[in-house]
Amino acid sequence: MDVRLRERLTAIVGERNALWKPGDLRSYGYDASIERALPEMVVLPQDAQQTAAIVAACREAKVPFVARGAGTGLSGGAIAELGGVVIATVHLNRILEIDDRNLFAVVEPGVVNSGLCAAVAGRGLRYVPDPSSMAACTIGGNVAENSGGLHCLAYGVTANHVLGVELVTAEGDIVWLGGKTRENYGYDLLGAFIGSEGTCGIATKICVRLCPLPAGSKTMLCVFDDIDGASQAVSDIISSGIVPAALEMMDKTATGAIEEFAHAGFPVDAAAILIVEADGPDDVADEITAAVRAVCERNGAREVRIARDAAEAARIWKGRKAAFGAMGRLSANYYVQDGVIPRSRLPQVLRDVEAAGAREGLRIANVFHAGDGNLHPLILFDDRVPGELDGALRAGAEILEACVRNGGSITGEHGVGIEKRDCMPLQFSPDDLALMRRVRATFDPDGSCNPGKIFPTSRRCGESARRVERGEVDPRVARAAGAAF
Amino acid sequence: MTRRPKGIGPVPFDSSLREAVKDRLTVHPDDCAAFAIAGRVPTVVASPKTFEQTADALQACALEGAQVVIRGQGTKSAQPPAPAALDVVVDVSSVAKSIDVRADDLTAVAAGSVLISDLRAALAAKERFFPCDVPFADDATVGGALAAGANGALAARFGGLRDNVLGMRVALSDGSRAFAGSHVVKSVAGFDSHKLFIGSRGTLGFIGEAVLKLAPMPPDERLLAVRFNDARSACAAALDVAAAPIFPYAVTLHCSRSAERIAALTALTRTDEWLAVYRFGGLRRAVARAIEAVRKICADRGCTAVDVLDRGGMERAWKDIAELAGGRMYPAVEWCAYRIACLPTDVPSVLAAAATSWPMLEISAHPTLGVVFGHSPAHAAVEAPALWRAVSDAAGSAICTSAPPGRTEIAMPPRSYAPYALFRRLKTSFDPSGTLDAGRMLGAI
Ligand SMILES: Cc1cc2nc3c(=O)[nH]c(=O)nc-3n(C[C@H](O)[C@H](O)[C@H](O)COP(=O)(O)OP(=O)(O)OC[C@H]3O[C@@H](n4cnc5c(N)ncnc54)[C@H](O)[C@@H]3O)c2cc1C
Repeated sequence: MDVRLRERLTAIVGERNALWKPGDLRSYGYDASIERALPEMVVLPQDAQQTAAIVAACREAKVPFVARGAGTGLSGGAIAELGGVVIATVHLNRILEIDDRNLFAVVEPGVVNSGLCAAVAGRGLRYVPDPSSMAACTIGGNVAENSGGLHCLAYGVTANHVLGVELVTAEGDIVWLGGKTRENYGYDLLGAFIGSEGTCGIATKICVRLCPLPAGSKTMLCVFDDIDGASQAVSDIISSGIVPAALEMMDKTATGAIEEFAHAGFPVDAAAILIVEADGPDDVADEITAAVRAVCERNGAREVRIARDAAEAARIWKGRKAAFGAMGRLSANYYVQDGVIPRSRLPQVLRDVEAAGAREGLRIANVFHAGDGNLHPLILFDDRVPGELDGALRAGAEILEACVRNGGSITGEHGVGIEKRDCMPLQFSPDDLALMRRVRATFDPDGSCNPGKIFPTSRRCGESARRVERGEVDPRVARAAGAAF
Repeated sequence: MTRRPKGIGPVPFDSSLREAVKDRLTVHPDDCAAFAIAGRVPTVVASPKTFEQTADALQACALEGAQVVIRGQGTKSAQPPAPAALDVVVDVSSVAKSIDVRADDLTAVAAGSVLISDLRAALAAKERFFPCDVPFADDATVGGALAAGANGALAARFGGLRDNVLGMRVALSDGSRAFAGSHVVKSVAGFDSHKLFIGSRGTLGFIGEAVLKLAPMPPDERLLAVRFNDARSACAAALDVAAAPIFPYAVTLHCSRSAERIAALTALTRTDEWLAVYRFGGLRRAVARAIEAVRKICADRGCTAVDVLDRGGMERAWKDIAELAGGRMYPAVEWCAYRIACLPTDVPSVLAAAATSWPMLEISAHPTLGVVFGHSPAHAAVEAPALWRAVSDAAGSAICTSAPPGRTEIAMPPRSYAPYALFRRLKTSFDPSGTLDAGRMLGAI
């Protein structure tokens, strides 16, 4: 990197917050995906003004820059693939305002999701989007990825909970998109910014909606001997008009591994289980659970169990959250996919997923947000066995094709980043992609803000990731994500 | 680069536009007058019958630098300011109307030309609903409602239009056609470009089709009508409700003049009292619980009377209530309609400021969303800057959503801190020839 730029950036953030020695850069060369690439410099600004000055300097020097939160992204979004500068938000970690009358909070982007939840819980409020990585991931990363979570079925994803963003544009200006009020006039640039994976500028303040905590909740475990019955039950629950707070599904491969690992009380001989959460005071939650029970029993559930107390409910959820970590019991490596399908297609697509694994001779565990139709097949493989990695990649691509063929999407919450950019043409025509490029050009005409992400290269779906070693989530990230594993 | 409008007399590009819409052109001034936009009459009206024809028509106009307004049923045509130039109205009301309700997936795909009322009927037949109420629901089209971007009171529970539109097929002025978003309830593949068209007032492109997120028709629905002596207590109660785990579908507030327009509630309104309306839906016990909780909160805040309406009463009342937000209740020939945005806690002071500076105003509000609707008989409409000053003192910002032709002076001044440079670049990027209703977005973009 040009020494003058390095000195200029160091002058902006101070020596302690400017990293450029190879040893210091190493921990910024990965995220929770399989991608790896070292930036040339990392800077840790203290506020929006410093961030804006950094961006302006990079732009002048024609050096790309990438924002980075906690690095828990699963698609390589925070990786500086083309080198350049990583702008890490660790010091932008203040909760600036909590307004419990107008029900919003203003936070800096480096605030950790669970930290915000803890800060508002005492006031009877919550920030709803709760990715499994909430103990580590940042609100800035959540906004950039439009993250989802267990409770997004009833309450919506990140995009539904963000009122405004203070943005350092790719040109180094500071503007607000949206604001504290629910209504804002003019083009909805905020709507387009959320989920733009760091390619449209850097959020330096975020105004999020807060919601009241539910009056109570009940957790159900519905046990099926037949995977078709379980997926049909999901489809029927949704179509019957019941929208539970959460509706998750796991197959036998997953429950077996989890049970050994987390002792959640899952029946290991069942073909599939559903975990359902019903919110509300006791009598209201009872009404919901009764309706869900009826649907499950109609679809052949062999057992429907309602957690007797908070401890039992917590055990069930702990099991669900331990799913990714438990995969280590089954296989040396796994590759998590993230496709979405219309919910009525669940039985069919789950059969397609199984067939994709069978064709490659690989086992696939399914643990997913069934209520949203958001699949997370975990393709199990052993990197040391020649051909298995390739097989996993092929199975992954085939699953995405099945999602798109059934009217769905190649990603429900993990983003496109580097990992899926070459799968974009599965879902979008060249004209559709051209429209997205116009949006990109609006925010970042020079293309210096997180370049290389989202838009396809000339490779085929699944090929991008071959250059680097595929494996489990980096252990450092795993530790940071804590309960998620 | 924006080309200067050519002020097409006998339509110099008659042939390309005519070909695009297969001869469906209207040129007689008397016929064109029916398609006036904020008082300005177009020279030509082109009436395509398909999405493809619409895209071709927009392209034909762009190639000639003609100024175009896309018009659905024209329910929002009275919104000031008037176009600085208007050559062609592309009347999309006859574009093929298709609705595909995917009831099991809680989604629907509707052509932009579908009437909101037809959409509702199709959804109700499958026990679903689109949880956004828009003004002029009987006449407006899906595309028009999305382009106008007016969120209704149901946004309190379900979010606004942007939260309930999953994807869109659009055509831009350069003739390009694209799908943006997805057909499923959750997707983060690429940019949510479709959200930019919501509230864009037709200045970015044509919304040919929209994928909508649906809600199941709840087993039980009720309405609670609560009277208060003053707006401040009514607002305080609404905020108490919003902060508690009660989750009503919607809350609205009405001055007595506005409340009198709700036919199903006229027996419950009193002069000089404020009427707060709570709409609930869900399983039977949940609704009963919620009503009980709201009753208590309102009593604690000093309400004077409470009435509960069943589903039928709720439906009748809601039809009117939704139209009190700048809709059918206030036809543009006689009324000026303003929409004021502020923090929920500032609603009482906005109400007070508006009422003091403008006693003739009829007021409704969505108090938990921080939106106030002021309607004034046109003859008594004060100039916008007066209202603007009054509400901006109370931290609001405002736009005029309809006014009689010629009353263009009442358009509101834009907020100084909106990201205008980005707005302008977006406009140039999506509408490079600058032909789509240039100058009528906030900030004269
Ligand atoms: C175990 C585990 C479980 C997970 N579970 C879920 C889940 O349930 N749901 C889900 O949706 N995701 C999940 N994820 C994925 C990940 O946690 C989310 O995508 C999260 O939002 C990323 O946040 P981060 O702070 O780690 O962002 P990073 O990984 O650091 O960055 C992600 C992207 O955000 C951009 N970015 C970061 N900060 C800013 C900013 N201030 N302005 C602009 N762009 C910015 C980056 O450039 C990058 O493109 C999981 C990940 C792991 C490892």
